[in-house]
Amino acid sequence: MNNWQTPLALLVVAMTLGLLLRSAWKKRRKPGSGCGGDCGCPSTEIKARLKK
Amino acid sequence: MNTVPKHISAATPSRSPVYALVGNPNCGKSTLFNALTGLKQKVGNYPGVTVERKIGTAYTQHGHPLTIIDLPGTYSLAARSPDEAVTRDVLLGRRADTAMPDRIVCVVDATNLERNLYLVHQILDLGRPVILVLNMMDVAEELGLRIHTSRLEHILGIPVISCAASSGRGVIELKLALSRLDLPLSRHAWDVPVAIAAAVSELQASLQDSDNKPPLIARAEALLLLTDSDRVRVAGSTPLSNRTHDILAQWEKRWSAESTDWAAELVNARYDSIGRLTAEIVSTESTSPIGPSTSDRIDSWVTHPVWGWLIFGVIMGAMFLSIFTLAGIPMGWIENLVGALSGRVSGLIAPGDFHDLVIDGAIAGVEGVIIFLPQIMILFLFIGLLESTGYMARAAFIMDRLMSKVGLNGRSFIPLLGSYACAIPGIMAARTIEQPKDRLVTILVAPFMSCSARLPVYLLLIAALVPNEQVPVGLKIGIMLLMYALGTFGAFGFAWFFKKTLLRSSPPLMIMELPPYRLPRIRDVLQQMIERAGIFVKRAGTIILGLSIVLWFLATYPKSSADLPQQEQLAHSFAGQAGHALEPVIAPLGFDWRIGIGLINSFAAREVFNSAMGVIFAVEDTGDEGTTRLHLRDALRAAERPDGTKLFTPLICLNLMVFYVFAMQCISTIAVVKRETNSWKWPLFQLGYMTGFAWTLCLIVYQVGHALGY
Repeated sequence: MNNWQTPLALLVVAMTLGLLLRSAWKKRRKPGSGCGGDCGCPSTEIKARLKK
Repeated sequence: MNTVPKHISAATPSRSPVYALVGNPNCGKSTLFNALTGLKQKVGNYPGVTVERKIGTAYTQHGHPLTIIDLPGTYSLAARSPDEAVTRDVLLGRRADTAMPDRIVCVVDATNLERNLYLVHQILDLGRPVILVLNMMDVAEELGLRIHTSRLEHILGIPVISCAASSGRGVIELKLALSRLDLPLSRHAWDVPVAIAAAVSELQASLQDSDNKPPLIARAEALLLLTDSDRVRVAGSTPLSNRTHDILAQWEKRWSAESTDWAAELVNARYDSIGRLTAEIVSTESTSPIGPSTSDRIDSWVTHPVWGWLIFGVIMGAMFLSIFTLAGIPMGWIENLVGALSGRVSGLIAPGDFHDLVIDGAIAGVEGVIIFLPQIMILFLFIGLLESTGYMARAAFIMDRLMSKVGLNGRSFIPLLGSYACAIPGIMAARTIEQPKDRLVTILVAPFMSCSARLPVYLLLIAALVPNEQVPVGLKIGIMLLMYALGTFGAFGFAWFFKKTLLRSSPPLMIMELPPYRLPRIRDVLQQMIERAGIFVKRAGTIILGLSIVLWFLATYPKSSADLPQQEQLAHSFAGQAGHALEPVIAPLGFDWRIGIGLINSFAAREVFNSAMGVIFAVEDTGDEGTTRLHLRDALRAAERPDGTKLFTPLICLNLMVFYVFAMQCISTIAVVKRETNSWKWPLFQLGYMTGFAWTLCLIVYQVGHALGY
């Protein structure tokens, strides 16, 4: 049994959970990206350029 | 020649000009957009592929950037559906999120010039710099049509480019025209009928003064108000002032008394003007006798009331046959690759939590999904071929009879067909439907169509249900077709129900253009297939990998005594406790807590069911050191209940598939329905009714099947 493996595994799980939540939060802030950008929604940069 | 006033043209060195790409549906705008920008937007040979504005950057020959907006196709500025309204609103400067385009590129189908020029005619009224692109010139030449572009250029006073966007012909000339700073305004003029001219002037003045519209936009809007009787639809999100409203009402009253059909007079006047123009510029060189075209001859079979259905069935059958037969070899490669990776990693890391996380969490979870990549690629290859040949529009045509029985029309079938790939673009494609209630019904039933995320679940359960060596492939195809048919007829059934109850309205007539058949552009089809495969792999490597790791944790912790068997430990884990909490609800359907864990996880994405099963059964096997890890399908076949009976019996596998056909289990779809309906009411209703129906149907299937001894 390797004692170092449990904290490492828990760290990976915590980091993964953090990344999943961050990705979900970012998507929530950008409802236009409902399909993950697959629908051809313009990027924030182009949107800003068009609003000028 | 008129040149562009400074207040109109924004093509200055400080700001790159914004071009709008507009035209009739299916005239090749998106193909041209891709050729100009180098982007890979979806293209297809049927109307309604683009339902949103798409934005990209093209570069002139000197490297200056140009912003290009690809707008949904429309036959006229009198928009009748939400996708057409996007085009109208961008061109009329009504959208807060998009500045009015500086210049407009009108793309027309050269093989159908007269009809396409109607929109061009309206756009020229806007008084903005326009470039006219005659696309599909190669096809027009094959048909013996000769279009005198220089004559057309002279009459309209704007650049006219001959183009065949699919082969890249004319794209350089178009880029040269786009980079011109001195684009002229059209000198083409037409006469508004005398009986209506006074009303147009009065409305224009009112729209300028009371509604603060610029003069030419006010004139264009005045003409639109007189062409479309639905003034709310014309006004869109910018309601008319009372003064404009009153003027309109007075004129309509007067014309009604005089029996003047003002809308018809306006449309006829435009077509008269277009007719004179085309008579001057189009000549026919063809000497071949006039008769049915190749497309017409094919259509006599493909849209036939009997043969049409048979051909549709054969195409679907061929697709599923390919999915089951052709994919076997690459699936074996992936299995071997993942097995080798698992073995290598297992040799590198000593037994322990991190080892289990990598093998039982990450690798087992991703394997359950990624193994079906070949099938996904075959599915998208078929969809791409059907879209690019023009068959999709025919499928909608033959479905129209069936759709009319449920109160919808064939136009609703295009979004439903699109939903076989993914419900999200399918729901967005419902923007092409004119009637709001019909659009809502289509959105509410679209997720019943079996999307590509369900495919891995069906394939896994069919593999668990019918082992390869025992049954002919026809049975597997039959089960798969049954699932797709269940979803399709479920959608029709609920559409009928909604049209009779909640969303009652008269059945609409279907008017849809059948595009000519074209040979598929293999490059586009393969590109689309590879892109979709890329999205699938990306999902497997991001969301599904992440969820598998989290699920491994939930299925492993809190740890019980080392003496307990693995299944007991799993039962006491967080995931096990959640599955047990759900068990009273799903037990009447024959599902146990382990399946419950898969169902909960499927709400993130349906295919996560496979990875959840992969993780759960890998975790269950963790204690059995020395045994070879089973393939997931074999693990499902071997899984047992505490009483020793098989967990995944044929009845349970079938019932699970039925649940996946009908249940609403996709957060992304819920989010898109919320966006499309602008309310939480409909997505929550959809979640409730679909999942409730799935549960009820599964209850009946299981209880009846169980009573019959299955």
